Amino acid sequence: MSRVAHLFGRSAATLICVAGVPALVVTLVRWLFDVRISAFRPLLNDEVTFWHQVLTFSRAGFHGGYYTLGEVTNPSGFTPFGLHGPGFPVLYGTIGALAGWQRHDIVVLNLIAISTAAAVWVLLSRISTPRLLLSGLLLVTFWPLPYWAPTGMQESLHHAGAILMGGPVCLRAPARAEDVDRRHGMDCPERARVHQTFVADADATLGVGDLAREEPPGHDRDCRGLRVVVVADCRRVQPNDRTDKELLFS
Amino acid sequence: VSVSDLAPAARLVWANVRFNVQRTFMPAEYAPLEVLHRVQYWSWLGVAGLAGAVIAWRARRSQAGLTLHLPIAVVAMSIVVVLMFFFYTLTNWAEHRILSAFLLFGALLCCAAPGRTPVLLAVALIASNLASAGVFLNGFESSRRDQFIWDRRGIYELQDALEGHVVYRPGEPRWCNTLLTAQYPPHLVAVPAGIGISVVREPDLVALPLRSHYLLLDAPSLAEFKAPLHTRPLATLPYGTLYENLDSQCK
Repeated sequence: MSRVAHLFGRSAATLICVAGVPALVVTLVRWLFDVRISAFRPLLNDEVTFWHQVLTFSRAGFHGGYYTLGEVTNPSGFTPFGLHGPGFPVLYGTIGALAGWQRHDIVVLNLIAISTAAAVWVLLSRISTPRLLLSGLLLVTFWPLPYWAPTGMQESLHHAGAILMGGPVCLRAPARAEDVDRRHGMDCPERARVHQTFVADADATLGVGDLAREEPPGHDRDCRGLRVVVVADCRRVQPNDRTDKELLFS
Repeated sequence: VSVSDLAPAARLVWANVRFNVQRTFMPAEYAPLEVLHRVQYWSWLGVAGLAGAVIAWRARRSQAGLTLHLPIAVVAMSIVVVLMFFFYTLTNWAEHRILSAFLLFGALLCCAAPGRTPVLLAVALIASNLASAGVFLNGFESSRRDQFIWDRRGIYELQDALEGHVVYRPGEPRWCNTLLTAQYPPHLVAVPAGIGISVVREPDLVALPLRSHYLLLDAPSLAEFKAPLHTRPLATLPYGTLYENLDSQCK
């Protein structure tokens, strides 16, 4: 696969991940209702409450009136906000204080939250292009995402949180060394040849050689020292020559 | 606290679990999208749990390092499902709203996990969603239509009623910037910023005197309070009357 084709594929997969859900939601609203997102109004009780709490926080901070059920306030006395806590109004209200708060802004922020989380996923997960494309398809076709995004509910923020957490988990739970190598396009020996100078330098600099010597017997010698280096240096790896199918299932 | 003190709570939790299990097998009570999601998360949890166990067993036999993607995803999903069945009720789209984030998290990790099985799990989820695109479109159109196509007159009407009467006053106690309402129409987005919106659903259970400065009450709700309220009517709306609460001690 040429470098240009690889870049194109990577960019397309990234675009689907980051912009797929917002594009789908905007298109659905336009296609089904023949209006823009700006026509949105909060409808359900919770939606109206969340929207109005954000409005109040954006203008009055914590000094607005109470949002209670039966005039029962929360014991802390710190926040006037209701049963669901102050997190959502503070987060969206801070943005509202800076940019203003219109009726449809809650939907806009939902979509921005999903996109931002997806961008973090792309950056941190470091998965191969076919798998990135797979995750993009997953996001676009995961119906709860577009179902709740054009509402004033908090579900989209939760979805964004789920996407966001995926990236760091992948960083903290890297695949086995050979899988990491393959994920980035080369078998271990091949990679070792290409990067032997770098690896040697890295071994010396990071003390990876010591780690490698502690590997169990029988471990492929060419893979030694790569476990840490590969994770630290994913971006130096050149585009791969393997087929999409091989990468997807590696 | 003795064990006998905890018995009523345990019975409540057990009754809740039984209720939720029964509801799980009553698909007619749910929207098609909810049923689809239920089938998806139970299937995913079952297959991912089994696959995770097999992967862990193989890793132990071969003394290879265990990759954590699938175990993390399965544990997260399992914990939240158990908590949900014990302490929440499967009504009002609860599974769809709460569990979908965990299913999404797990499915994304499947996209990154090494090996063939996790990827196949993600592919299966995508395939099931694509196959049910019609169900999604119908659900989306019917449930979102009223959020995008609606009559603006209700908002203008409430804005006119509130104008000059209900105003946010910085520096005043919070109750003086609170509107207590028995009805919850979507037009309440017209209530000015800074005015808190409190709800009264069971007027006979609310402590008197009321503390909110403004009241929006329909006649049946007004009659349900344990004692007469001291109010001054400000405006009349189709869903109730806007009052100033004279007991609130606000200016």
